[in-house]
Amino acid sequence: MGISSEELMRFNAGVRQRLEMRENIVAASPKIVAVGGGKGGVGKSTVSILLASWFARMGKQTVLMDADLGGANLHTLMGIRNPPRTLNDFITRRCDSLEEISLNTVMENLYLIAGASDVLSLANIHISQKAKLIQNLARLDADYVVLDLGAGTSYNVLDFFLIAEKKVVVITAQPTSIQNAYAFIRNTVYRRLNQLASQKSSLQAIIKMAMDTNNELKVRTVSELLQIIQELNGREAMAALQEEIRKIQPFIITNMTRTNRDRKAGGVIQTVADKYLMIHSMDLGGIVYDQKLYAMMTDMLPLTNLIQLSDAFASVYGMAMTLLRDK
Amino acid sequence: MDEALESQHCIGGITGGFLTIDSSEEFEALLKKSPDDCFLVKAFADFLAGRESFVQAAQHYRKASDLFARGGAVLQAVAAKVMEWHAAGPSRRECRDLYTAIREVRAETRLNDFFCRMAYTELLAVLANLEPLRLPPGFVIEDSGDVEGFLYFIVTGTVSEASAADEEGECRREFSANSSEMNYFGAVYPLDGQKPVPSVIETASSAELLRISRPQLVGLCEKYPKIEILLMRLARAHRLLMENKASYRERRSVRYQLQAQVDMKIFKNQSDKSQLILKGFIQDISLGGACVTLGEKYLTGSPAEIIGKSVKVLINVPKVKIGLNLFGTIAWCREILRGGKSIVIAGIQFRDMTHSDLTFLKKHCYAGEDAQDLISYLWESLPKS
Repeated sequence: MGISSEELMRFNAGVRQRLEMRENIVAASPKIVAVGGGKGGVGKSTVSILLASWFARMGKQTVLMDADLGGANLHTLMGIRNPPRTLNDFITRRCDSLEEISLNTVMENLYLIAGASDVLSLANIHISQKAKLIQNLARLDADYVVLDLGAGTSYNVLDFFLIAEKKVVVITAQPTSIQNAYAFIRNTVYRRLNQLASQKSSLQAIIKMAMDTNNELKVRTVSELLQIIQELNGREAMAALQEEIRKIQPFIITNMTRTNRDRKAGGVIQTVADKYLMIHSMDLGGIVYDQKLYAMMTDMLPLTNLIQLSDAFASVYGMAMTLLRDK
Repeated sequence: MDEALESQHCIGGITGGFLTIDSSEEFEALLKKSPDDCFLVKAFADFLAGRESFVQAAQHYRKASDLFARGGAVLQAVAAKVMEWHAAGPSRRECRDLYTAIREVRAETRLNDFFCRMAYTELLAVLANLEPLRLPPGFVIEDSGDVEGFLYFIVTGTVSEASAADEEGECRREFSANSSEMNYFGAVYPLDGQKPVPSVIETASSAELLRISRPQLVGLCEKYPKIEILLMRLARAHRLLMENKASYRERRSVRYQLQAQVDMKIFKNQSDKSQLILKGFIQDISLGGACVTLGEKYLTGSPAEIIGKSVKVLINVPKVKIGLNLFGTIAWCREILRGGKSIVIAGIQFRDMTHSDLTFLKKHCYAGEDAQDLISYLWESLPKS
């Protein structure tokens, strides 16, 4: 028995409605800002809080998520000693959505998703759980999600960094921090290239070879790697990879600056990343070293209590504005 | 005549092909005086092979290969090893010796790069496919219109190439074993192409070559992907060399790969004291000038506006309080696309750079390839005050 025209119209209307709903959901997806940097102790969590606080102050619904899966303590900096719900509740399916584990904070428009540092399964999250988490981030009812990433360059950290529209790399004005941050950006680039080449084993072999800085072919830069890929796999393959690399445009923030020289540390990464990785980063400048901020951390007071008189908070204003304006 | 000098003349004559020795005793006498002369050892091996004393020939080819490798003559070492295998059959262990020896070679020519960067099994496979050729002068190796079917390496002698246009009296191109760049030919890459030879290639002197065919290369590249990368790089270097030869202009001064951050003060004109201050980065420098990549803060105006302007360049040098100040003129400036983004580069012609300035920069500036070293260098070059 065939379908009547009335039923067909109803069916089509239903499909249209569902499609519209899906488009609305996609359109309403929050912008993700990931804050990483490779080295521990450079102030990624502090910078995450300061950025998220400014977004919230500017009227943006902002969720701050502790994505340091192995060593979560963002909640402590937010003045919450024992968060009632954490990311672990979502991973272990005690809660169905990230909304359920979002906690209110003292600041209007700002919500927190706390991590759980004492949960082994969370530190070693399975790939399917990671995929679920990433999918649910896009469904959060917010304007911005700020991800505070852990230290190091594990795949989990790099994957969260890569999904973000705005990628922020935090450094301090020390050579070790700059070196780690560069390594972090380099690993991000190669992780992305690896993801893109996952269907082509020959391409993967070349990328794997180039990842070794002492490779026998003396491929030292991404540009040299792309040249080889162009010769072996054609211009189209090379151009596609180049375009993906172009999209990784990290913003560099130098934390705890005390001198003019410190504020220029981001420029070093800019130069080296451009030369070796074809990465065009933007130096957002420095956040001044602020004794008040560190006193609050010692006293376990929420950093969101910072008033505009805080030098550190003030210096983040321009950065937050740039991130909001950047398309 | 001094005895040592005489023996050197003999060796030169033998290896140069204009003196023939027809007894083992004479060779052995010369070898007693110069036991480590790689060319003489190889000449003796050739002599023995001609006499069908293959076991002895193989021993001397092996020794020659070892001596060539230790002397950094990679292609000659490879050729001697191929000859050894032709005389006495392949020996895996002996190839391992060659492999170890040539990996120590640091000379950065493209041909060395091709052989020295292979893994052991790759080198073994390539060597097994190389065919040695000994050709008299005037022998046509490839004629115009033939399909490019082989990659040739010139072990000794010279090969000349003349295109149809060249025969009318224009210059001829020469490939020679003595050239560090022009010692191979044969446009077999890309491997799926079937290009006709555009010119006549013939030996200009007695020559010893190694060659490998396109089908053999296809098979090798399928099995060992890295060989294809090395082959592609070899072909690209050759192509670039040919293109550069066509429009070659000698530079007045040597360029040094020194990297440094610079601050440039551009003087608009003599009456107007105002200055445009730009930051940039140089990657190489010579007595004559430098190419500066300007930072992203270069925002206003057309690049052409600063051409011809006087400029004061401060080169920031690590661990030195005040960098090096140089005066010059902006010779050219243009926007280029790099990684999909538009950047501005400028060529500065120095007016007052001296040899001692350059020595100072060579001492303090970074000239390596490693990113982490460059970070340390740039960090140290940031002004401390």
